[in-house]
Amino acid sequence: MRRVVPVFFFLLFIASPVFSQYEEKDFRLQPVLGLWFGPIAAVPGTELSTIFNTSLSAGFFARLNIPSDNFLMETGIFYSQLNSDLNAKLLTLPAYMAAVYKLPVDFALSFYFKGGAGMGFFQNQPENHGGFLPVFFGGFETSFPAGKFINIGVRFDYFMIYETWMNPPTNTSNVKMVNGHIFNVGIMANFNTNP
Amino acid sequence: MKKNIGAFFIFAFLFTCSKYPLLSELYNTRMQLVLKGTYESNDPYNWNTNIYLDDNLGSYSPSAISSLVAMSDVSLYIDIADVRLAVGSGKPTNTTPAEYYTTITKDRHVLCSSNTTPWKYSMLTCADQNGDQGYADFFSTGFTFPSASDVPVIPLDSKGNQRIGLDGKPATAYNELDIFFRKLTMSPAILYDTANPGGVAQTTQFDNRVVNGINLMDSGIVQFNQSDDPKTATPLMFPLNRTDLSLKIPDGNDAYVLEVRIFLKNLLMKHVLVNGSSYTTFVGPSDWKANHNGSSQMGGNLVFTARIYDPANVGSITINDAEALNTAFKSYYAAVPAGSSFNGSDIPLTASSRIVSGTGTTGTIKNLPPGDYDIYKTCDNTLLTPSGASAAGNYDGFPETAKSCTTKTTVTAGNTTTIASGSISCVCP
Repeated sequence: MRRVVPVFFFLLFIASPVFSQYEEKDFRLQPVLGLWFGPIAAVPGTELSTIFNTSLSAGFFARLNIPSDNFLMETGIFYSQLNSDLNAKLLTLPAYMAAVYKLPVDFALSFYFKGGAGMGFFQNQPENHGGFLPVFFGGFETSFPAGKFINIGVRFDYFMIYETWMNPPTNTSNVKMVNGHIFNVGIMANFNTNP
Repeated sequence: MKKNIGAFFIFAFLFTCSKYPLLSELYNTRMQLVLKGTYESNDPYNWNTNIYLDDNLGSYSPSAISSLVAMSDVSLYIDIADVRLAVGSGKPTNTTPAEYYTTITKDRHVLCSSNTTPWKYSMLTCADQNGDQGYADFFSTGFTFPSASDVPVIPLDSKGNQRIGLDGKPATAYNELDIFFRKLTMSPAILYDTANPGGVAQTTQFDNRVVNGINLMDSGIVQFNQSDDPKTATPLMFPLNRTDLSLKIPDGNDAYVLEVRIFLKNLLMKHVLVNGSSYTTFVGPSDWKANHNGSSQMGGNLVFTARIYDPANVGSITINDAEALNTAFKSYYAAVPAGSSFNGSDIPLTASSRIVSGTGTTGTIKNLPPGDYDIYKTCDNTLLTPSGASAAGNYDGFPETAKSCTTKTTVTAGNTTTIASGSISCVCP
């Protein structure tokens, strides 16, 4: 019995990580830069959908991993010019930051769900007024690796342009303050900068 | 230095939050586009019992050609494609319509004297758009045409630059207003020929249904050719337009009214088309300006005017008049801006009916922006077109005679200026 105890501790000692083939890497930043483009439209049934037609949008985003298995950070910006049949135009240039949740499934496709907020620059025609408005963002993305550096995927983004916090113009009646609800679908290419 | 740049961006974000409700500005429309089918801008007369008869009808047989048509038997189906504004310089041939016009309506709209055909089929667009209600409004208080929410205050081109007006300077007002009729269908239309000596009703299509009548836009009748010479045929009067209006949209956020009056009510007349030995009677605007004598071409007789006012900043003029109302012909009170020439060959900026009051009449012209106005009485007691044997007592429905009542009557916002009875002496000749 007296011999067993040192042998037990010896076994415990050699089983420790110091002697194991420890494969796990340290946390390492793996930024992803992406480009996308695709159609954009106001959400059907909302106020803006009575004005604007579908048009094209294009955007850029950067995604960083954080010390977490399933969560990432994303920031992005996109540009679009919404046009109507008549005179109205809306230049949209929103920028956002979002938390990204990666669905923990072992599959060739990765699924990401995003939520965030930001500010957007908007300019309307024919009034030709411009300025920043807060935006809220929700999105979904699925992509697959096409080699070591490139991922290809599609994304679906929804933006709420928040305007009802403003007071309606004074000395005016019957002005209905509206928020903007727009969505876009894009095909995208992501570049893994540190694979 | 780097810190300063970061701080600058944070402050830029906080302090450049938009002053304007950018989306709500696009969504809310300031313009209320009101279409009226009346000479009067308010308080129109009721419909005449019978429509007018062209002065040449009596020379044709059968005698049914010159019979009276009761207004209750008349149907109108009007399909308006859109209404547009422009600076009035004329569309250059090398530009697209979108580059020249500012379209102020979103969709076509129909006005129907009934939402069902004479055979009781429902007309879908009429029913969807409450065409019968629109028709009733069009000939009474005014039909509000759904207008676009994004009409530029000053004329802008498609790139957002200010347009150049007729005088070569940047334009600040719209001088041109165009109404694009898709159809202007009026009934009854009756064909008399050797096979049908008793007459057979003519039909046409409206809103994908068969209705009685003929469409004046495509029947070969150049009804809307606005040339003074009705024989200069092409094109059809499409659009109905005027380029001498001065429509200034008020700046700011207040709602404003764009009132467009197309004189149709109590101007309808029975005409005849002569084609060899067949005769087709139809209903159309009176040939008060360009005479119609059986030919397939007529025009220049449809007139309209348009004005803009801020409904929160208007006054009224009430006229009391010792002259008794002559019910044999129509007469109106009209107000035009002081000093502007008005001779009765066009329709005035504003007008009202005359209402019998005691031995004389009274009338109130409403929705006048503050300013000075000249008051006229307009009377339909001359037949402007060359007259043959008149079948309808020499009246054509258009009040060509303008008698000046007063000048420089001042209107202030929110008030009614009253012109006392006896202080004016404008009598229809």
